[in-house]
Amino acid sequence: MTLPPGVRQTDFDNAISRWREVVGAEWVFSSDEDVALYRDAYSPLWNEPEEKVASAAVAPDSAEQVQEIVRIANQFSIPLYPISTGRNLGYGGAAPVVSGSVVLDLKRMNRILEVDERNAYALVEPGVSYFDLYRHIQDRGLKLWIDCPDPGWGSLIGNALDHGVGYTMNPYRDHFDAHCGMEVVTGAGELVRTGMGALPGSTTWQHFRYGYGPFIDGMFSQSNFGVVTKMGIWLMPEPEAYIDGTVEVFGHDDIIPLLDHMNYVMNTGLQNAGTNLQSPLRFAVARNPELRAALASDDPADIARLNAFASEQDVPFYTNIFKFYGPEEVVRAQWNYTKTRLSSIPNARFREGAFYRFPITEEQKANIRDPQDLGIPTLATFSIGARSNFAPATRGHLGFSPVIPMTGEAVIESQRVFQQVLQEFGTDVALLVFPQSFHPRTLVILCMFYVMPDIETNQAVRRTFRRLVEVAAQHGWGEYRTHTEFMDDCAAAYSFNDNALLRLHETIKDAVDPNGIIAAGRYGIWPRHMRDA
Amino acid sequence: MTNRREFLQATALAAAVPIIARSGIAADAGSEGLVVFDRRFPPARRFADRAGLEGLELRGIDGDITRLWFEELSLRWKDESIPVTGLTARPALFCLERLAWDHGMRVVSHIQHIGQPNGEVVHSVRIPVGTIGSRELAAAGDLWPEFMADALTRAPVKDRKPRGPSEASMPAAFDNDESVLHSWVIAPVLPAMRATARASKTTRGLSR
Repeated sequence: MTLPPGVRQTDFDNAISRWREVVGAEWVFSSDEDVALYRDAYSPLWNEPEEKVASAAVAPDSAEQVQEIVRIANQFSIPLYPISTGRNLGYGGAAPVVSGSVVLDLKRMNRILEVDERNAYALVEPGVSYFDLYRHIQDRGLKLWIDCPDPGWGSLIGNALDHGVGYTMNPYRDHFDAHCGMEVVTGAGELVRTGMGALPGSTTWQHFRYGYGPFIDGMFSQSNFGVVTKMGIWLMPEPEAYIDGTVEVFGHDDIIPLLDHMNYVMNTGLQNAGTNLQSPLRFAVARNPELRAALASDDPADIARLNAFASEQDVPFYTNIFKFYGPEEVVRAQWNYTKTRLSSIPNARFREGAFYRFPITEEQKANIRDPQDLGIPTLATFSIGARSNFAPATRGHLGFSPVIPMTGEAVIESQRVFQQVLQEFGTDVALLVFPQSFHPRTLVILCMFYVMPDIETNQAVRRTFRRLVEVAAQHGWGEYRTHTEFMDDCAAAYSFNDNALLRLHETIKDAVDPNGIIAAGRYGIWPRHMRDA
Repeated sequence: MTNRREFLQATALAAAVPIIARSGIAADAGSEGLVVFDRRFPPARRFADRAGLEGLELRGIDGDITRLWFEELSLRWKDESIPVTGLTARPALFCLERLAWDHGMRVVSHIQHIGQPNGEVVHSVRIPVGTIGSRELAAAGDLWPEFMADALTRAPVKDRKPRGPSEASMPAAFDNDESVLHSWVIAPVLPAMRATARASKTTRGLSR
């Protein structure tokens, strides 16, 4: 068992004993067998001495118990690491940033406190998974959809707080953007409600997120200032219909007008959902070293060879799936308009995709290509790969994922830059670099690396990953989210004015969690007593 | 050249023969629970055929466990920690094991069956069942799926020791998951982490 840094065994034992009094002995886990369940299966430090592991776990059933646990942790200076369901694989899972931390496991807090069909929202606890809320809605026949990420077993609150994303309409697919109102236990153990929740007897906690005064909800996302014990989530009213269609373009530079058109239809609301931008050509040349190298070149001769390959092999350089939700006549008109607009790109081709009228039958449900597009949670990603032709998701993986502007020029430049780094380091990637639209006006580059049982491979991945973070920052691109192992690296890139933002984060940390109890080091924010180390 | 997956899929259906006599496990140990098998693989189908002779409930999947989990196990496990025995590819075990942890259950038996380029299958016992080792499995020859079905479904289910995660929940060691099949048992262990999952409660207005 790894003790938290600077904590004496007697203090640790006393805290464990006190926590048992609060939650019951059966909900404090300290045996090696139980604590091992909190290891990160996708840790890039797997089986190395530096792998981050917990010392124990405690599982409360209520916000009041969370408060008591936090107070005891303060008394004995024991770091806590809150998790909701602990299934944030690829981003650290249930393992802490600091070895020896005690996992605050919120899975027992799995109550769906309210679902309102008329105003389309839910109020949930952290242990509620996408499957749980989906079942609740289905069992009651409510005309509401959830928005879920690829694996549906995670927590709505945990995913939203980590800035996770899904696949249906705006704003629901940006899970933090879809939240409304929080209840938080601060690092000092105080219970706070944000937004309209601060008004006793409020009837609009899940309706109006700003409340009165500073809007501080963002403080509790990607941070370590408190433990969120309740959160409101806006849900999507079931649309009448869904349609999708694909555009294919064949030239290296066609990405520029393609993204300009996509920006227009997204920002005017004509296309009210996320995109699924792919590069079939990149997959096609993955096993051709010569052409693959050309992807990193800005030499016109190399670009001409890639264009020739695309044309001769009839492989699109880029494709995008456009998705539309709404009344049938509206979504058909939106798709038709999109096709008309994109027809200005030479040789652009269009393929009709799926069409559904809701409600759909169970047979239709069973045959949907991507159930998440219709708000249906699934675990299929583990058996078919994460929306790609590459890595089965049970291979450990982690993603380098910087944010770039949603322009074709940025895509071309970033792909060239990152491809050069990958070639320089010779690191095998599970998934080649291509951009995804998680949020309006930006794209996120996805570069997935395998995590393996062998240490040398993982060390090479870490070196490459860190180099990519540096190179991205040199070009003005920063990560939107990352694995716990790289949180300091990514935070360091946000260094404007001598790290003024980080210093502000630290000021807040010292104020709301003076003993530095909550999730030390998460997203690069360290408590005062660990800052210099 | 036959690849590993093709070999596994091409394995012939074996006759139902009394294999358990060689397994070292008492035939009266008692059978309970569900049997999960991946229909894509002939050895898994044979495994299920054999287990079906014991009267166990069979559930076929095609790689993905979502429907099995959502429509059945997530509901049944709320009331009772029903053991589940399976022969599947790794992703199914990876998911079911993690979901089972919240119900006070662990992988208590785990054997990997690794297809070789020459068509042979090498068995690697990661968490043993009874006294069965790789040697006994090798001796079963082409009848290893039936052997595994007998061995796993007749293994004792009581008083299992506490356990941590199985190797299936750790970083994958194999390039191609489907060149390796896994036979396994997920069952309650004593003492164990208590089941944390229970029916989500709707308490409209409560705690507001």
